[in-house]
Amino acid sequence: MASRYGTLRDIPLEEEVVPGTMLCAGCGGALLVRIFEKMLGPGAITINAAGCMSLLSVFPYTPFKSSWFYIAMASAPAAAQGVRDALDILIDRKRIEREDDLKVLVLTGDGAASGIGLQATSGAIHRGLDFYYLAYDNEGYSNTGFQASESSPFASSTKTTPPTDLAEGSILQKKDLFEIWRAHKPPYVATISPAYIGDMMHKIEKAGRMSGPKLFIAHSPCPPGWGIDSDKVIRIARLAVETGIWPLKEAINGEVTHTIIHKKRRPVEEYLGTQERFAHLFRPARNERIIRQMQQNTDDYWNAVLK
Amino acid sequence: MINVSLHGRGGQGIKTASHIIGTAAFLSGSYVQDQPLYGAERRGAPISAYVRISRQPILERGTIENPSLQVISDDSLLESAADNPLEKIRESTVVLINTSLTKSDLASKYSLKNPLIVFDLAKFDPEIISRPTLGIAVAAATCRTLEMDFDLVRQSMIKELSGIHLDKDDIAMSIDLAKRVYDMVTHGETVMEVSGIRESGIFEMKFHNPAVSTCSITATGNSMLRERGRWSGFQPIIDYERCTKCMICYVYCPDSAYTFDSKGYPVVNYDACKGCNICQTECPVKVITLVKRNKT
Amino acid sequence: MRELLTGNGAVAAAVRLCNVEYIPAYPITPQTEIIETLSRWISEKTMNARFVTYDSEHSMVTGAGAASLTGVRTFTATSSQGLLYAFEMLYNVAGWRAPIVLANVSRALAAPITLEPDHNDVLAARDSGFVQIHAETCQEVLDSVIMAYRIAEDDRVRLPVIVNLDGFYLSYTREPVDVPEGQEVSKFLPEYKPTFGYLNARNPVSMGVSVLDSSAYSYFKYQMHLASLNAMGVHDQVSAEFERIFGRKYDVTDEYMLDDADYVVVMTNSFATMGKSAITRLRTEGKKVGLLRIRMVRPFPKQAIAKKLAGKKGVAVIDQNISVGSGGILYPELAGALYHTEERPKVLISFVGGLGGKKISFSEFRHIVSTLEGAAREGTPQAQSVLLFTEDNWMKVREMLKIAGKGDVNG
Ligand code: SF4
Ligand code: SF4
Ligand code: SF4
Repeated sequence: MASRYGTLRDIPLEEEVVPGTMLCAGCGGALLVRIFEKMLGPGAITINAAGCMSLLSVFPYTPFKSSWFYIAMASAPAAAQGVRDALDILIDRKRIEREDDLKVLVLTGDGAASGIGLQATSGAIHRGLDFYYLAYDNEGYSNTGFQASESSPFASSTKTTPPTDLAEGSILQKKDLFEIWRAHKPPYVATISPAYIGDMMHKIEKAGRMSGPKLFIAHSPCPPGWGIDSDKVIRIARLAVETGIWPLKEAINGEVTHTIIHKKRRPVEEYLGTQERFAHLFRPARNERIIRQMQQNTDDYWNAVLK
Repeated sequence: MINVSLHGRGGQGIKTASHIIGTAAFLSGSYVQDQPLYGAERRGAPISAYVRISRQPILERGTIENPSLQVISDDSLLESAADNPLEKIRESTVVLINTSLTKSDLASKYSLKNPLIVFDLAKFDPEIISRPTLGIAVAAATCRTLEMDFDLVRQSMIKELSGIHLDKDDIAMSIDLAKRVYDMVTHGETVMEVSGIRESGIFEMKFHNPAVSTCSITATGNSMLRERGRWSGFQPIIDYERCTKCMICYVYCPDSAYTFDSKGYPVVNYDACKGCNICQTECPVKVITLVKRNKT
Repeated sequence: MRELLTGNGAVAAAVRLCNVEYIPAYPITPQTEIIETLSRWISEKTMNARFVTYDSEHSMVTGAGAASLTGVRTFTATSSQGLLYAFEMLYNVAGWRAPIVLANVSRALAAPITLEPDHNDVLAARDSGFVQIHAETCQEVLDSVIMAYRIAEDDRVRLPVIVNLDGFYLSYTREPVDVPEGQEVSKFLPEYKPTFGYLNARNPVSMGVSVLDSSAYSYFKYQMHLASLNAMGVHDQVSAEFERIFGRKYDVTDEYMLDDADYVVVMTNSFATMGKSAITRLRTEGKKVGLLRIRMVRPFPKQAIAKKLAGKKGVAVIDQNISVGSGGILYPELAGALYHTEERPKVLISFVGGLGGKKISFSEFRHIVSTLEGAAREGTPQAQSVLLFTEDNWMKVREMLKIAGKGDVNG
């Protein structure tokens, strides 16, 4: 089916999230939410698990033009289930009009998505709940000052994985949420990036034609957590795709396709070198072993994809 | 008891400032309490921290309602609607502020009758005064105002800055900066104890309909009512002669700060802009420049 | 229609009569029968509702609150560990002012894990904002669920309600229950039409918003308290109407041979039946004793209790729960309720019994009354809670300790 979003210029102009939030200047997550809500349009309800984005509305202010619901960290998908089921009941029984219906969006960080909320998400996907899920993956618990989450990349430094002589930041690998979600065979799961808004719009549009779980994992640069200047957010997100660290892909009913493929990938150290959280890999001495290992991991991934 | 209330923005090192002041006072033999006010603050949002200094044990807790000294690290805070530090001062509170304005301009602009001490960090190299070193400068200015010996400031800084893992060279540089600020601040206002009692009767709360008394917001998109812009000292200016109307700046602005004029040119809503500078970095033809925010 | 129903069956029957539209569920003993029954009726189409098994009680209570706020009448049920697993969400659902009804089938808490009831589970939720009604009989269970929706959905209250019934002693016990007609119940309980705040496209709202201002937080919290206090008056109104239609009357407390009693035993839930039996027998022995059962535990009906206990010589509170390190949970609440009453009872003694569903024998009741009499005479009641535990009980435990390899333990 043809896309309404041929170029960036086709972006919906109506803002669903108005200015004035308490989020950091240059927050990657804020940009993702802004674009996602534009694509959903009015008549959405955002079910927000505790995390940075749950500070979007703080009494008595809200930037949202549509409904928003703050839920405990572990159970946003369960609230989505309750809202969706209730709307269906009310529509069935003609107690509300079709125009009252809402698109249900679960919005959580990677901590809730990969850790404490994974059970509730698995349940919702398993039940075939018709909802969108946007996980803004800033690779740490940013709301509490950036501690390691299950989504923190290997060798990254966080407040709870400080680099020392013994360990190179986080010694654990990033949890592969895409594969975990995909194993449930939802109709749609995709990765997105704030540097590839066109790709993102196409994916949201495509998912919008499907019923059931529509799941998105968004690379979400976090200036204070990653130790980057706020203006570099898009550049760094772009580098993550160009180096192959953040593959852009989708899976329809479990079938994976990569949507952006850079035949010639930049070396991963170009990405790593932009961020304070990887600085210990370069200073005081270059940690060749770790950098090489990370390059190898990325190469292995893409070799398997391109085979 | 001397109550010092510090006001700045997330990322400026205000918590460190409160610790430097607290430790310096502690080293001088005083009883001390210091405390940052943590909330939902993010980089750039208004934040505060408190230091209480006394010769006797301190029988107080929490936020300071009766500041002896109100320290303001950034005069953009004076424009703030929701968190204006000037709203929190008492008659005899001494106000110490980092600004390029003169004392008399400041007094007339904000109708201030309080004793004022101004210092202008804009005179320093912006690299040195970039966040979060700003907090160090503010701490030095505060200690000077409180008539603490610089040697105490130095000792305190060594202790506090090694605590946040600054290396030797950085600490030496910071002490050097602190000394220059310390010497620059002309004190002359005496910081005194300010009475803390503000009377207010007890309100008898009645039941309200849950439509009102449930914590929800039925207004929509009202966040513009809160102070949001002015988070940074800089704002993007577009050279419309060369702008190609490509919309890139609009697309990438995380804060919905862009709209378009009737001819399709992007327009920045400066109240909404947080100064992240993404638009400047991403503009493909480089026609956005950052300009220091207009001080008037 | 009068039929034999278990406590669980009575809950299910009431839920169907109330035209509940949505049931988030998660199994746990001894509650499971409730959701099994409801799901069977729904699949047989003798009940028109949607039934969804969630992934945990935490999710289940989240979903229940969210659905209720979206505008459908919602019921859910749990027990014991399940209630604790959902604990965070109990406070949330109450704070959202979502008028769900939750049946808790009491079961003592781990560790050690066990199956029979005491009330540490439901009383753990006492500060959450849920209104709590604790039932003694299967009939009362059914009637309380129906009344609970009226109370929860009343705008003077607008808080969720827990109806508590004891596991085993009620949940699996059949006794005769009058099941009212559907139309009668519909007259009593009209369709759920929330008056504010609902989640739909035409009325955008931000719900569950964080409040970082302590004055605003105090306001919202205290408003919940005022709403909960209203539940007492609303209960009395609802109860009067219930009596008119169905002929059965409930107060926030229930009493047995209380009027002329000198000594009173205070209890809650199904063990009160055993208490009533003991009172009857003690009366034949010439003791002027009576029983007060607290039916509404939240809001705590302080005035009603103080009035009932005014002028009594001695009161024993039997807490079927234990606050480790303090003793019975309800005892200090009663003491607080009585402190300023002019004719407050001379002695007020705390007993802890029925833990893990251990029965309270007649000897234990007799011991309670003689303790009261002694203390009233000598005026020196014991400061700590007294455990209701017999020699027989100890012999049994001693034997098990031996088998478990702990040696022969001396009492
Ligand atoms: S800490 Fe990171 S994710 Fe959180 S608001 Fe700031 S930039 Fe966004
Ligand atoms: S990005 Fe630059 S060229 Fe494009 S519209 Fe904005 S200002 Fe004009
Ligand atoms: S500086 Fe940042 S917030 Fe301001 S207009 Fe540009 S992108 Fe938006």
